[in-house]
Amino acid sequence: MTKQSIMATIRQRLGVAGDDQTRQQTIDSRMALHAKNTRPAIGVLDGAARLDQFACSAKRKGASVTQVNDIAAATAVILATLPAGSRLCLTSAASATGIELPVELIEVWNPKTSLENSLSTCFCGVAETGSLVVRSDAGNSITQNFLADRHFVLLPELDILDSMESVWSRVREQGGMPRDLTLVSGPSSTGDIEMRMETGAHGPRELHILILGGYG
Amino acid sequence: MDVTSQNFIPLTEAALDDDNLQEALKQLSGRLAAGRTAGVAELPEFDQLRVDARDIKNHVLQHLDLYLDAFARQVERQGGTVHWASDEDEARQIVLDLCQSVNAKRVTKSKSMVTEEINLVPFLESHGLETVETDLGEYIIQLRGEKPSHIVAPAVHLSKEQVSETFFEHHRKLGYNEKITDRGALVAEARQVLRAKFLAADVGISGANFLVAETGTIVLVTNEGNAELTTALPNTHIVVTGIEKIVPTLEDVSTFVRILARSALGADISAYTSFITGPKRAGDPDGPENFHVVLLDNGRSEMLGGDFQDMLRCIRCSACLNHCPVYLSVGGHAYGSVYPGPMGAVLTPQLATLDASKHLANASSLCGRCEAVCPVMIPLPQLLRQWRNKESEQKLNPMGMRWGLKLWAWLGRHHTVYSLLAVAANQVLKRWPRQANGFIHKLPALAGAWTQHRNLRQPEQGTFSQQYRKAGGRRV
Repeated sequence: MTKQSIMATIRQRLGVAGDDQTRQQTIDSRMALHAKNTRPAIGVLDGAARLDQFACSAKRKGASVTQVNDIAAATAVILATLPAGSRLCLTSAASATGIELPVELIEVWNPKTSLENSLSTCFCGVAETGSLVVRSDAGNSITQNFLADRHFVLLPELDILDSMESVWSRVREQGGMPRDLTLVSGPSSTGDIEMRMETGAHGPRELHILILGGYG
Repeated sequence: MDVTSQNFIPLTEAALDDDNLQEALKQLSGRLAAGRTAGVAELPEFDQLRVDARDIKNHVLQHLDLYLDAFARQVERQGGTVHWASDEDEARQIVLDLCQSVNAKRVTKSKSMVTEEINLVPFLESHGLETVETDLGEYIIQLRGEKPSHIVAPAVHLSKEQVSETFFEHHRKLGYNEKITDRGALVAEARQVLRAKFLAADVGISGANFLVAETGTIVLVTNEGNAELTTALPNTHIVVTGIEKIVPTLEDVSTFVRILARSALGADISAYTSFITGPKRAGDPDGPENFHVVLLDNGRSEMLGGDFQDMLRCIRCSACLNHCPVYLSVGGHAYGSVYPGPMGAVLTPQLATLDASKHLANASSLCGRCEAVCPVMIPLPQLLRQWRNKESEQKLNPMGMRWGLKLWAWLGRHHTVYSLLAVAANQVLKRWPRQANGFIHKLPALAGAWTQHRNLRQPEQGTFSQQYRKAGGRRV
């Protein structure tokens, strides 16, 4: 009932009929075309410039960015960053990368108690804004990206896309939107007390991005 | 929508005398407006993005019925449910019924202006649901029993000492016995307290910055990550949002992501931009089983095709507040509406009544900064003027003011009478007892209304017309 009355008001105010096929075709074709609007120059970069844009933009937001040649080198960076006595939770997708960590450092993920460190993979990166695209799927618990104090993310260099628009093309190629797809751009922060930025509001206080060169 | 905008004049007087507030407003303008200027300067395409954004919204508004239908179909295809609410009462009742249908006791909420508009949290609390705001600013003002004073930074009116007092008072019972004033420590304490709330919640309520018709996706933008925990941890996620938030495609929403954070504080993007589509999928390790979207009208559909349709493009970025000399002098609470500043002065009379909020449109010098920074190019000064016209048409302004304006308009059309009066006033003022600095501080009778708040420069020569003729100017 309410829906009908809201729709009736909208149509009456716009002076249109609900069964106007031309209007329906207009919106259907717009939604099917996926036309791109203006993309800034920093959103259409390629090659080294794209990698550079990603790294600079992510670092500006307070993330650490390290380029490594292989998984073994990534492991070394993680081990050097983990504080002594601290343990790490891996998403199943992260475990599947073949990363080898000392078993005593591995913690089984539990959202209520796993508060320290988390290692996950991501869907892709976005160079324009230095963002990581994380998503919910069978191999990735989405909350593992948001709950730990320190978040490590593996990002193959070839998965760094130029802009959000390229993310959407990849999403459509791979079966459409997951339940949750989040662009993570730097560590969690808040400016709610006296307009001063503080990191670690609810999500990770530290974000470490490991770019795997020539991988993927 | 409940407002106290009738009290705008006494509230502004109190605000101007509030030193704490004045300091906070100085910080606000220094950080947000300056941040925006720097952020916009970095992006040469910014003005083209604004044009794109305006055109997308205009296109959506012309086809709003069809896009809402398309959005709702996609949500339901993904296993979610769409609910329609024509007003605040209906929206609140739908949310309460949904909470009760899953026997919820505890609710977490991420920041949403629409839920402020419908006063949702006090309603749920009055029905026995513990409802916790999880955005830090919203959490602080919830503890203090206040309303937001800014649409992006709701606790901007408070100092860290005030936050410290509030946390000490409310967190002591949880075992936090030390009074802390360090900003980082205050943030860390709130993180600990709220983490427990996130993990225990039965229902998470969020708003939506955008709704994508193509995919049935809701988009949430935060820096804290609270929306992500609110929407991913509980078993039920309820979205409460306005019908005007629709954009057609993911490509279109990308344009808005590019301008939103930049307009608010100058950042290219917020820390978290989440695209949520339906409930948990088969195989997902986490996420809510139930996904509901409550679409609120509350007077929005009535704005279509009328004088205020442009206002439906608003994306609640706060740039107009951050650049408004009136907002920056009196803060948000003086407006007596959850929507303050220029956007609030246009929206509030529509959502409440013009009679209750008639002062707001008049509290503007129409300087135009709001329109100049608006990312969706809303002609805010023009819309404010339209409310002033309506106020006059409905005879809501004082009779003296209406007659005064009529007299002024008549004089403006009768040049000879106008000139004679100007010459007379000029002669009187020239002979007024001379003050040392050349200003008159106090005039009697009606003219005293002018000198009550400003000084009047004493004329040294004749009227403008007299000087113009003397200098050899011709009548044109």
